[in-house]
Amino acid sequence: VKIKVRLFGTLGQNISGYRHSQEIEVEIPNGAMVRDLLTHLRISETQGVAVIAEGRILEVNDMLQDGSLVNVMQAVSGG
Amino acid sequence: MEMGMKFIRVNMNKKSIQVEDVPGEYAGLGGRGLTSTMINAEVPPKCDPLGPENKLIFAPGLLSGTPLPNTSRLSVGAKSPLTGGIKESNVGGTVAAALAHLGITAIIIEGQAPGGELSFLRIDEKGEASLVEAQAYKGQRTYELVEKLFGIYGEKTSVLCIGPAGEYRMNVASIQSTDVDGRPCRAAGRGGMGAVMGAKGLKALIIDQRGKSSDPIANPKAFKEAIKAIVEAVKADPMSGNVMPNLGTAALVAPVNAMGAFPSYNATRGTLDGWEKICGEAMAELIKERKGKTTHRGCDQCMIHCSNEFVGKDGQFVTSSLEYETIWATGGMTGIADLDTIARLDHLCDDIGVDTMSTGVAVAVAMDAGYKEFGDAKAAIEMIEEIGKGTEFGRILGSGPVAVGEHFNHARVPAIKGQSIAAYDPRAMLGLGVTYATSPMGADHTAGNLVGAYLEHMLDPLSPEGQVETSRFLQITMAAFDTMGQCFMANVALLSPNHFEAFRKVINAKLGTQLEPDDFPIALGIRVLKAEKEFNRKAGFTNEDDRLPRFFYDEPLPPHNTVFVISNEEIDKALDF
Repeated sequence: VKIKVRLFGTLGQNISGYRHSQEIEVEIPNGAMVRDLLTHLRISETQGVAVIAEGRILEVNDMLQDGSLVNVMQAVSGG
Repeated sequence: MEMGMKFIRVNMNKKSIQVEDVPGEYAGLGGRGLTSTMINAEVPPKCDPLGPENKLIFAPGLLSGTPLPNTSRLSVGAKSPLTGGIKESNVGGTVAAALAHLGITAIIIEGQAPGGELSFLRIDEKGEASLVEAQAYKGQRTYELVEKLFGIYGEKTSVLCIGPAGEYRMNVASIQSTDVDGRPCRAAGRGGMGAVMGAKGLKALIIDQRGKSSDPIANPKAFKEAIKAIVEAVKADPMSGNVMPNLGTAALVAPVNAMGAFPSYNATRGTLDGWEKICGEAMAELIKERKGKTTHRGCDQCMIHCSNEFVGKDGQFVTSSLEYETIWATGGMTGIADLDTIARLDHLCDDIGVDTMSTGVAVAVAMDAGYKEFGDAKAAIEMIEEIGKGTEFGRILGSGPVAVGEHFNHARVPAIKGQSIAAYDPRAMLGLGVTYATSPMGADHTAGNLVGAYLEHMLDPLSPEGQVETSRFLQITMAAFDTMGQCFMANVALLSPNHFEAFRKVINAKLGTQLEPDDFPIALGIRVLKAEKEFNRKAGFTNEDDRLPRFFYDEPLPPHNTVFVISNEEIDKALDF
């Protein structure tokens, strides 16, 4: 499945030349879960990371749908 | 009792200053715990907040000025003209440490200067306080004022001051505090503390930073050891150790929009069109391109460096620090997705001396009522300039969002107890609604903010389950940390039983006490909240004041199209001590 991903916080710094809010396309196997996407993106620590699609925070075991847009974000506790 | 620590009481009628030892009943208190306890004990609850019976209290946190990092919060307390209830608004910068180094536990401003007289309160290197005539500075904006004051008193000076809005006694008037670089860009913004200061006839506090009379630490060796654990926890936390120094609080723009909870266009939608243009990541890129500072130390003894310096296209300083709540109020609520405009509005608010949050929301309510179009940057700048000039309409805006709603007969005013909500819509983050409804401060962004709990998968923002309990826990914990003078950014790294234990060791080493696990943060936080609720009850508040405005229950918020669904009975349990 192909997933459109946007990286936020300091996560974009893992990819050289990444500009804020830029969509990148990621191909992962059918049936892949949020956890697999994070592994693919080399985001090892799940603590403090929130994957948000269509306004909802996904859990690591949630399955990803082909063509969906997900925002990979970091937890912040208030401003 | 703390050895040698003192209260400075200033009577503005008599122009007299009294120094007294800290009474025993206030031992172990500082910051919010001290201001709230004193206001509850000393201020007549039904008094006019802008009259002589109100008291304005400045108190560094219990641990301010000690070697524990991130403890430079100063609490400012009084009865609020905005809410009619008790208020504590805390601010960073350099003042808290400066006062603590002078051995000052609190400054209490009483009475009222006769007939528009204006004074400075000067505290010199030895901690001696004196009133200085300040009539020549009447109407001056804060940046110009502090520049003059540094010229007179030297660079080793901390200033707390009001701008014209405070002199006009406006409900949204702030007290501005100088940062490490001497700019009046930090604000005790909420609740109209600037109006109380203006009503007292006090233009500025001018405090020497070279004091050497800090309260002794009971067990210095144990203290040094105990703070190591706190420093390590703050460094290791992903937010305070990584996100804050890189992006600051503006890092919240993206996740809150992605969650559909960013109150936009006066809380008619949960996502701002073009939020990607004003998110923290966009701001960091823009600041880097223009060679400003994406990370900056704004407060004494800070190790997090969440501050920034926003510069214009010409590389010149515009404002510091551009923060999440400001970006939301002046950008999201008004529909202005442009960082240059937002930065300019932030500077303008600091310079006039108004709370960016209440002011942005007041502008948004006027726009929603049809006064101007959402997204009209020129109109927003002009409206806020009117506040500074004290025009008739400027005074309506400066009275806050509720007054603006009344002026236009417009019911959609997102305020609780008169104070505007913060940058989280309670229909899409239910727990924030619980905090907004029940905090004795009115709607508030630090009193018990659940956004981190949502992003850390601890609870679902759209399900009622766990919201009341989490709000309660956070409100209690924050009241305790606000008493210590520790910054919110560090507090949220320390919300576990292990960290509470580590923090108790710091307090014990400081005071020579033996606190039990129940004592901190829970018992202390409850004690503070009880005092605040008691004051509000005596001022006439009931449970019926702990409710959200009607539209949060009736108008679904896109994109989730949900309303606020927590019952009044559940709400009333949040702080039912």
